Amino acid sequence: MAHAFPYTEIACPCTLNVSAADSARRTSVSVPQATDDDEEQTFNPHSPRANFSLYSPNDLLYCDDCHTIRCPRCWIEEIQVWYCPSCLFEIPGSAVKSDAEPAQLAGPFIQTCPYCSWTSLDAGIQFATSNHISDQLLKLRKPRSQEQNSDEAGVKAIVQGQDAPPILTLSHEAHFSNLTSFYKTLLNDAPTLNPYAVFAASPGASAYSSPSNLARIITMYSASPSKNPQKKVLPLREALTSAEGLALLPPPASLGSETEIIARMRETGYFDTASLEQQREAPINYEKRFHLGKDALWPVATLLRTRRTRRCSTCRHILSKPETKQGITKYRIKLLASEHILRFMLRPLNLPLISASGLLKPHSTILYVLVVRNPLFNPVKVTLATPSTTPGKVESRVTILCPDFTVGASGEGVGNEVWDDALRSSTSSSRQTSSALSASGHEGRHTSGVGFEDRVPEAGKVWERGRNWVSVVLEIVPGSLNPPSIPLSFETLSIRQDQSGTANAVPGAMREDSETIGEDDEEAVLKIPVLVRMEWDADAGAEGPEAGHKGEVAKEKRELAFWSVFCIGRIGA
Amino acid sequence: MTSRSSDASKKSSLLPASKPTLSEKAQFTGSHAVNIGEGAIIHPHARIRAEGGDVMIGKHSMLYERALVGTVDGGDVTIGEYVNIETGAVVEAKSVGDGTTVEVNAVVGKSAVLGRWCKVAPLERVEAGEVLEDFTVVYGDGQRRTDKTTKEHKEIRDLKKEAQIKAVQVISTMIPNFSAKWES
Repeated sequence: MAHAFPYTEIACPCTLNVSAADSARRTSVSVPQATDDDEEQTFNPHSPRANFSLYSPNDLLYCDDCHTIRCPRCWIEEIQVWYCPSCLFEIPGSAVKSDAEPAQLAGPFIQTCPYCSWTSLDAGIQFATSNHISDQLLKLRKPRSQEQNSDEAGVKAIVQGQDAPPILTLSHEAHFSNLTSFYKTLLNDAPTLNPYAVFAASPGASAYSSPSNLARIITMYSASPSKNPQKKVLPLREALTSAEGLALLPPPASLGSETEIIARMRETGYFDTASLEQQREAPINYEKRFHLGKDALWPVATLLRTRRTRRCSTCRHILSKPETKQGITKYRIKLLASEHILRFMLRPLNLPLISASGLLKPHSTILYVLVVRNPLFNPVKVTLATPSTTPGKVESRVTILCPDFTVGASGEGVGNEVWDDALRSSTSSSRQTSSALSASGHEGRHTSGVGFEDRVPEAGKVWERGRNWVSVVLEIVPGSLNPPSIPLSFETLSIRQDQSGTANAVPGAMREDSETIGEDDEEAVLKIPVLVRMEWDADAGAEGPEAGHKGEVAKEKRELAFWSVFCIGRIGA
Repeated sequence: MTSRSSDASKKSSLLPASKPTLSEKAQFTGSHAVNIGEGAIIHPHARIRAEGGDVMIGKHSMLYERALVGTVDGGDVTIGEYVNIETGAVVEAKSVGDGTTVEVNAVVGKSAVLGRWCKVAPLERVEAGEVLEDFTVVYGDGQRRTDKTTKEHKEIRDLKKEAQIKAVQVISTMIPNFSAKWES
């Protein structure tokens, strides 16, 4: 992670459903009950899945129709514009597919690099016309790949006989088609085994499109667990033979043996060999070693870049829309989550408590100030909840001294805030000015630190309060990386039980079964999961039905809850 | 993309042997002789330094703005035909073969010998005394390769020559010719 400690991350609420389904598969509880339980379950920032659900607040968008946070997994992207990355020329959508370009001169054509003088003649490629280059390349390529696969039929025969491991002489295209057909057959068989595979099988299409799928979903949610006994879910298997699309490394050299390649390199020189970047540019070139000759790198069309519109996947509301004109990087619409949900900022209350190495000392209490800022124009009632010990291998104790408070409404703009603070400072004490400065990110830390030396944080009381921000104190006792033997043995015992009980144990726990945690380990980072619940009365003018609210009377009342993770720092040994 | 069409009007497009085009603002220094072939073009602010020896520039060659050809103490410099010395390039070589291009701000050191149809990519260096074989391309921070296409296809070499003649023709109409000023 490139962030500097401390930083905050937010788990998109959409991922909670996924983790519920996932853990339901692991534990042998019946499905409907499990989903209920998992809503109450603590979010574990150290679990392998957490990587996929945690986002920086700035990367998230907010759907103001559904009133929820939206992450890359729950928005849909639509391509608005295609353009060339080098010249920024905008290509109309119709031309992208047709590769149209007015025909110019007659006669044979070649492609040539104006820099290094490589030409397509070096690879034996010559074009009849100057347009439809991709089509021509495809046509030129076909006879070559067929040539390569002349003994493909023989390979398949061997595979069916199950005699020897097949000799791989398949081209990229043959490999690809084998692998796709393999996965298609696998997914066709899979739904009978795995009730969730229906969602994985057709990401584009609706899960309810086919009647058989619908029937399966209905039986899944029908309240008769006895009728539908829990089946053991088998993971999808991978390709095992080359007929199924397995490719072995090192890739088979189409030229023959390595010695032949070395001999050729001696002849042509080092600089005529293809670099790794060139090979990785396109799958066709994965096995190409040279710039010249019949088996040289194949020309690959420049991939066009796109500008995309993002839509909410449930209500199709536009979340962000870039400017269509080239050269303008602004967005016409961008509903940033950080403008709709609370913003968090952490800073240590007393700086010297952190050791010089930047690592947190185990078992020594540190105090952090959490500044909660409200970007909304209405006052928000905030409830913070965190488990008393952090989940994961290292158990740190965390206490939020004031978990319930209300944050005032945000003003019209930054200018107003400055005026407010200035006016307040003339009437009240100078302490508040300095605190306001420190909270708004200015270099007010030292002044405020001096001012608060004598103040003791109290439970149930807000530390500081501004017009649209509130700061509360967090008391953190970092756990030890290598705790005494009792908790460790307890852990291993529980994992063994898990293994014997169900087919899938938690992979992370399996791996770290008996080893101790080092300072560089991911587990050594102190991450505090906090469930944030915000309640506020939205403006009466806001239209649309409120999806999230519970009370019938409060028409404008809104509520939003999400898991946020405060990453404090690394714990030292 | 390079057109490889055989142009029927190839011969008619050739002008009769013409004088070189020398800009008024080209600089010539030194006391040694400077020979410039027919159809060659010396752009404004190009510098020919005949202080260390004679400078000979072949037919249909071009010397671009702020390019420098010649030496102070290194001896004669011979530039072949259909040669392009691009903007800001410094050529102190002993000889540069026909059809060679020295790109923008490239440097060719003293008494180096460049073969025919070579190319020195922008900002590349050919060290003093180095000998480049025909069809060598210097690119990518000192890498060398052989331009196989030009080497093996005579028609491509002919096309390049033709293109150079056309370029020279066009540019000669754009630069006022002050060759009379320099003639001896």
